[in-house]
Amino acid sequence: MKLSEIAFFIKSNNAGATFLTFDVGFKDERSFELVLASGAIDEPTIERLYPFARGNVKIYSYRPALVIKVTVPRPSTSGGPAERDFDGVQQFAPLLDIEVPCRDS
Amino acid sequence: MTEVRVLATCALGLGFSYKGFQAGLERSPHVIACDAGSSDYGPYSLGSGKLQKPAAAIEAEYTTLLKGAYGLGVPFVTGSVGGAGDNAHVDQMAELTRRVADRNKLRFRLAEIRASISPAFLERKIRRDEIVPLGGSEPLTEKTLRSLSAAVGQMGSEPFLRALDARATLILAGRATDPAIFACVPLHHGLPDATCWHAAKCVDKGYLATTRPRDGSPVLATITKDDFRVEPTREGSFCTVSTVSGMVVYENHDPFRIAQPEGVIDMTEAVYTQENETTVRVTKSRFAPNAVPTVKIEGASIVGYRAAVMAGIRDPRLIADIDAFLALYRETFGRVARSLGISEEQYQLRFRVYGRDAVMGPYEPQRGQAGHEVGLLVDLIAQTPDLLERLSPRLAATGSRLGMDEGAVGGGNFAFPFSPAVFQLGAVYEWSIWHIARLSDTEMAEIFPVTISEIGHEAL
Repeated sequence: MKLSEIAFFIKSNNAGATFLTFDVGFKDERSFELVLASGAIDEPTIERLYPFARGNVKIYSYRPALVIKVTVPRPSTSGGPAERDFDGVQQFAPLLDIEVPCRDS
Repeated sequence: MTEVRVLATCALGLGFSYKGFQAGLERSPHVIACDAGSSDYGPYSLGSGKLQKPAAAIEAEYTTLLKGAYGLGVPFVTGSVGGAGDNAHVDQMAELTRRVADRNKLRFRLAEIRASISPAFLERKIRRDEIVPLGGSEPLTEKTLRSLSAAVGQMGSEPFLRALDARATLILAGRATDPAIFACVPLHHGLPDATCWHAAKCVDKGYLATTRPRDGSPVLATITKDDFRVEPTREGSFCTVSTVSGMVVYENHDPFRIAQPEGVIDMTEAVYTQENETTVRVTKSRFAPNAVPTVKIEGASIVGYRAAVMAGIRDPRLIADIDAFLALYRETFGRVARSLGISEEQYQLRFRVYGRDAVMGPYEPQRGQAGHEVGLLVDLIAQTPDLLERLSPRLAATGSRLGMDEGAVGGGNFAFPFSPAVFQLGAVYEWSIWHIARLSDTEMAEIFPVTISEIGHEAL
């Protein structure tokens, strides 16, 4: 199953001018726990999709809001002359297709 | 005081539910507060000193807020005014505030808190080794200070508390952390750091803490020494554990700890409970104070002056060979520049190919799949306005006429949606300072000075 089919939302944003942060939110505890336990969102996967983040990936699971959060350094400081997305809001797209291995339930 | 209520609307200029705001006033808040800026929109506001949202666009909303606070006789607090919270922004907002107060017969004891930082101050911090990079920035050097357009410090609650000590009823602060704007009044009433700061963080984006932000409901935080509650004030709006706890997640790199000048808001153990259909109660907040205040410094430097062209390309042969086309475009434009006596060091030329990889660049996983049409954004940044004026008339034609000399006269590579085809975009800035500095109490007072004045009709 693809992550976009299980998650309630998948967003990206700047966290300040030097970090990019991805929030993957779930509607219920079951899907949150399922994705968490599957290990689908792990460092190697994030590093493969965002090669500039190699060695600097931080992953948090935030239960109160059922959010898995990933923070990486931006490839360049936000708003520079070569900027493509100064808010970082469209950088999540490669996460949509992450395969989540589903056990039979 | 055992309980302090903070009425929070969303960032100034984003609007809010008028009915929800009026209902909020009926709850007798001790303060009305809103954030007024952000660095999320890039360095332009700081570098240029221009308001992110012009006074005309925010005046009606601002008037409603000030009338509400004046009517109740409670303070109105806002910060990061004008967008970047530079002195130029505080000045322009103070002017608007005086006008609104006069026109509406309101009276306030106004505190203006400035936050601009001089290159001389930063030079001293560099020499004493008291300023360090944040995130991936480089160490700050004196060379950066020479190109600096403007710099601000991001204040915590301390300057606000000085303004409240001076009995201010309207606080216009320069660059501030978002939660400081909402935490200062409950802190001033003597409530503990832990609940004040965490509550402030949960309401600092106003209606984003509700299930339907588009309804624009203000939110009310009711803070005590042991807990706080967050609820919407518009009938029919809802706060849930997910929306309230979510406020500490978005746009922060760590959802459990958020650094402030005075310490760290620690939410690791926090417990969020749905108290009733609309209200969330939060307990077990913590705050770990810093021994010495640490302040984030933001600085913007000018890069040059920009002109751009947006061109549509529909020719499949051109799209298939777009990289070779762009290389030839760059080379030809270089020749044009040289003929005008301009070298390649004096300008930057960039292409973003929409429909292929404009959003993600080299990290685009589907780079090989361009569409049947693409949008080409041609971006020219020249070192000076004069260089730009000479170069930009050649920008569109050079690309559109490229390779058109053979065969029949006429034709072009670029479909231009607008006339003129070249947009003049003015000065371009970049973040050149994104650092953290340790500040003594004297330095705090020096870079965040509070000025008090009586404003409004009776003061005339």
